[in-house]
Amino acid sequence: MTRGRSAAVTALAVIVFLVFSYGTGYMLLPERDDYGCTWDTFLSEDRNSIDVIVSGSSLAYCDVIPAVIWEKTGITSYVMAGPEQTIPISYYYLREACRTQRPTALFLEATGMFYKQYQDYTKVNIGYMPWGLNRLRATFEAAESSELPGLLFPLYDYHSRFFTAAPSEIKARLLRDSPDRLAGYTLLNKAQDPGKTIYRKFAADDENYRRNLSYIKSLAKFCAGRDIDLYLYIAPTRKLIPEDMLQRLKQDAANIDGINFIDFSDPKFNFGFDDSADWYDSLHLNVSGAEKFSSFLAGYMSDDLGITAGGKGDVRLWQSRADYIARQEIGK
Amino acid sequence: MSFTSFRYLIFIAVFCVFYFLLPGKTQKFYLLFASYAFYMYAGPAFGALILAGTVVSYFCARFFEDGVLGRKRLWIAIGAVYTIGVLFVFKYLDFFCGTAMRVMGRSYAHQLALVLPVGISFFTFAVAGYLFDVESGKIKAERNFINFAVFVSFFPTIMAGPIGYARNFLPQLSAPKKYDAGRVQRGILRFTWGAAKKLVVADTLAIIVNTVYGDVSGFSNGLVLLAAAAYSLQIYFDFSAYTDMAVGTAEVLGFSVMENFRSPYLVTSVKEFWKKWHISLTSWLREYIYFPLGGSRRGKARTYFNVLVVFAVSGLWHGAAFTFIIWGLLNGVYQVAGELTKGARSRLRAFLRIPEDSRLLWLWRCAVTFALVTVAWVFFRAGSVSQAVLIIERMLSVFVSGFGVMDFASLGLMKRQAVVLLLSLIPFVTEDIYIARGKQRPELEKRELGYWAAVVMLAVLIVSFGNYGEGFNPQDFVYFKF
Repeated sequence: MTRGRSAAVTALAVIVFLVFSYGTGYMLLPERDDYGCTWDTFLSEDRNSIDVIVSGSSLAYCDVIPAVIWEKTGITSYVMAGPEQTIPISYYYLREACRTQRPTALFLEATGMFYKQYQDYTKVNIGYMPWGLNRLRATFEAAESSELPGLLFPLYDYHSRFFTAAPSEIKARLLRDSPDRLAGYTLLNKAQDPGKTIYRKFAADDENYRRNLSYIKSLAKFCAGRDIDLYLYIAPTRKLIPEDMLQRLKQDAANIDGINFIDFSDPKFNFGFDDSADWYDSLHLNVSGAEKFSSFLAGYMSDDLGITAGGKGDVRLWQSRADYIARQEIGK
Repeated sequence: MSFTSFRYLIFIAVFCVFYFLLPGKTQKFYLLFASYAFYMYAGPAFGALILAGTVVSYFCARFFEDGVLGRKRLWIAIGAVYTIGVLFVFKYLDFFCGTAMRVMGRSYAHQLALVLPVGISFFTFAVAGYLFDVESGKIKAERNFINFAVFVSFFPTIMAGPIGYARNFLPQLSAPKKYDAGRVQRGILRFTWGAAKKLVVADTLAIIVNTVYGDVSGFSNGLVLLAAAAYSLQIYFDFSAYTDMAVGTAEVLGFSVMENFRSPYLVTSVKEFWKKWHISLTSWLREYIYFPLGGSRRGKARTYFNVLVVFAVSGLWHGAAFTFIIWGLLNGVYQVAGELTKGARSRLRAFLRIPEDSRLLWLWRCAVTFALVTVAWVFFRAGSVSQAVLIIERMLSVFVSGFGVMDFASLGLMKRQAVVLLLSLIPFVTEDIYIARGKQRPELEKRELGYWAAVVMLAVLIVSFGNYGEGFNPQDFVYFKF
């Protein structure tokens, strides 16, 4: 066998192995369409049809209902957030989301500024991202070393599903996803009294805060280069960020060009929440509360921030989303 | 650093890139450096231990040959006492002191509890074998210290063998190793074969074994019996997998090391089993203990005694515990009993008119040998003599009270996992049958497509069904603790 042919056979063997490994790695990934990380459904949206992208942690995906915003204003939005998602991961989410969409505004829920460097859901938050530079950079910059094998080689984490996954699950993975009827929102339909307002405890980590700030600066630069308005916001909650930390964040945000900071946890905003009906827990709104907040946010976007509807969304799809939300009732 | 870890793959890949580019002398230094780095990864202080052992035995052998101080044998004695002494201190001192104190009715409150350096039993035996070979004139004392140090610390074999013989290894250092594509490919295939054997078969069997041995009373007689048989298979696939990976790595580097197994379960007697199981250790014990004791030349009674001594030492070599000593002695007793009943069994066969070459007889003998070895392995695996006795009682109860409820689901394996285990056994058992028939492994590397198809299939088997990553509990190689 000639040296060239030999090299070709070797390369073919490597390619076959990689195709198998990453193909089955994709196939065995558990289906996921709530609690953030809705990448597959996000990618099935029409290109350049989303006006606003919202990112952050559960405070983003539990509180913002894109269908309500659309119904009020015609603005198409999508929530691309993950559980306890850290700022660096959100940064790469937004970069990746802008590869298929051309939004005019990005909203980033900023409580993640005070999270630990690594929260509990790194694997889920990065593991569903599409392969590419943004995923790789998120992996190497924002994942703990123990998660690297699984993030770089998904079979490492999921090959046990060869033994456990039902054929229907595999089939569901292989079929093309239809758009998410919640557009990234996670529906919580139980109600609980949130209790009195308290300050949330965060581990003081100045170094991590500075690191997060550098990602915010990078995001501002990224947005400026694409003519996107960047809004850093704090979601309404009964577990407030301690005053000194919040002031520091406001101050730092003010010093970065192109950042608009909005604190929706400030009592000056009145969303008309009913403690007996609108909260899922002290941190998150349920669907009733999220409808109120999203309705307010829709008006705020169009009236105060001047965001306008691009008009490229699929009206039938968005109407079906609005209808679906309208059918939701607490406790059912 | 385990052979099945991702780190090892990176280590060996990076190592090989430079290894074949370096000129002869530098190549040896590089190999030595890598071997120490590999070994010290398990514990930096262990490097000093192996270096001291290398220095002492190197000079003792040279002083013996040069007749320093006019006391030739004294140097071999010093070297051997030092080498075996180090092994004794780290591995056996606590055991012997504790046992002696218990015999005297006292408590042993001053346990040293030294951390056992990985592979200590292997490299100390390799060094001791070298000293004995020099003393008996089988080889000349090595004059090149680097060569000798490479022999002692050679990283593919330092953790769990095969136990190196200087007379086989040192001549291989005479010429620099050039890149040989066929050899490298052969090594990669052997390594991958071993990795599949370990991660897919041995570690899956370990799930059954660990589940049952962890709570013997919670399982029926039949399942305890099944777990005992599973351990016989686990330890074979585990240790032979390690050997495959060691031999494969050595092959890539241009070295030939001793084979450790030749289808040991496809044999018709325990004596034959020991000719095909852990061959490097068995050869060592035969050459340096059995023969010096007189072997089979001093009458039957002495021969039987020698066999028992050798197997007691073999048991002790494996670990400082009575379970290992009983395991070794039991294997010795099997062989003595085999010899003593040879005539009677022969007469019984003649009476029953069973021809010696009957296939059924062969199968029966294989089954009996496997059963005997399995009973012995119970002592090897059990945490204590009492646990071993309990397990054997439960195994034998099958004949009295039956198998009991065979709830396979309670063994810790998922259904598909059990099916994959059974299917995965096919290629490895086929290999054993192939080798048992005296055939050589096929030279797949000569057929490029066939070779890569085999490597890719093995790699696919490993990444799909191997015990690694999330949701699995990968096991250390069993022989790492020796």
